[in-house]
Amino acid sequence: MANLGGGFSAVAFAAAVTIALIALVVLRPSLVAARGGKVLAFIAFLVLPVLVTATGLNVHMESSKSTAFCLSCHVMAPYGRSLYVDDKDHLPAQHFQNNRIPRDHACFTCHTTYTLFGDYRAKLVGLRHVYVNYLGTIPRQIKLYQPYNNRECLHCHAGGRSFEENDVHQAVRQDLGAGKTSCLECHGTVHDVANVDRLRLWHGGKP
Amino acid sequence: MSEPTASLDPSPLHRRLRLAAILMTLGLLVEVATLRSVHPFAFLTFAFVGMALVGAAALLYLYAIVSS
Repeated sequence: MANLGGGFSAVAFAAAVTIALIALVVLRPSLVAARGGKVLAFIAFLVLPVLVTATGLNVHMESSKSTAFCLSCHVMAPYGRSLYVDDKDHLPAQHFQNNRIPRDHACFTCHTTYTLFGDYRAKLVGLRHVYVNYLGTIPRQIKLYQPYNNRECLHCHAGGRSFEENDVHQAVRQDLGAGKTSCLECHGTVHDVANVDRLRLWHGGKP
Repeated sequence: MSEPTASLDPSPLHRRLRLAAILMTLGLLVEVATLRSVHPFAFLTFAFVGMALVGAAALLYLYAIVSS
């Protein structure tokens, strides 16, 4: 989050400079008559705003990869709690608790093409999610639109010694790569949100 | 003779620049304000309000300079 904070400061400073220059151009109309004033107006009204907006968009895109972003909607809270289930069979929880994925980007690491970061259809789905969250009826059970893609597992595990030398993995290795066999067929305990409130949770090493 | 100011019978160019300035300032303020929040609604406000205002202001500025 430190980088995001720096991004905010940079954008805020650039926006303040832009607004000051715009005010100068508008309050001193005679400036625009001269060549230098025209260049100044061009920078103030076009160049700097594009830079500010592009940088701001980048800050938002980065922050939208954060776990806090995903869990900022109430409906996602049980999924956040499921990362703390104290059970070695709970796949997301084990990845989260053992730092196999970065905790501050936990959701995005395993759901890389979800909504904002997917194709245009996924982005439209993301807009629909916001609409449903505020104005629609949130479904009781949230499901992925498509089966979970093995690619999300293999982009870390493929080539890893413990993964590749595992007898079970070796037997189905080609099918895993081709997506004919899902990783979740064996590692099927993911985000058990229906029961998460009844399960024992890990408190991050705190009592 | 003092320098003309924005308040005295502005030309169409300066009127449009003034409107563009207002839109741009609002757009930039909206953009900066949303950056403090980590939430989908902040992102959408940035994209659909902030960027729209900045875009409209930039277009109005371009229209002002080509039509003057």
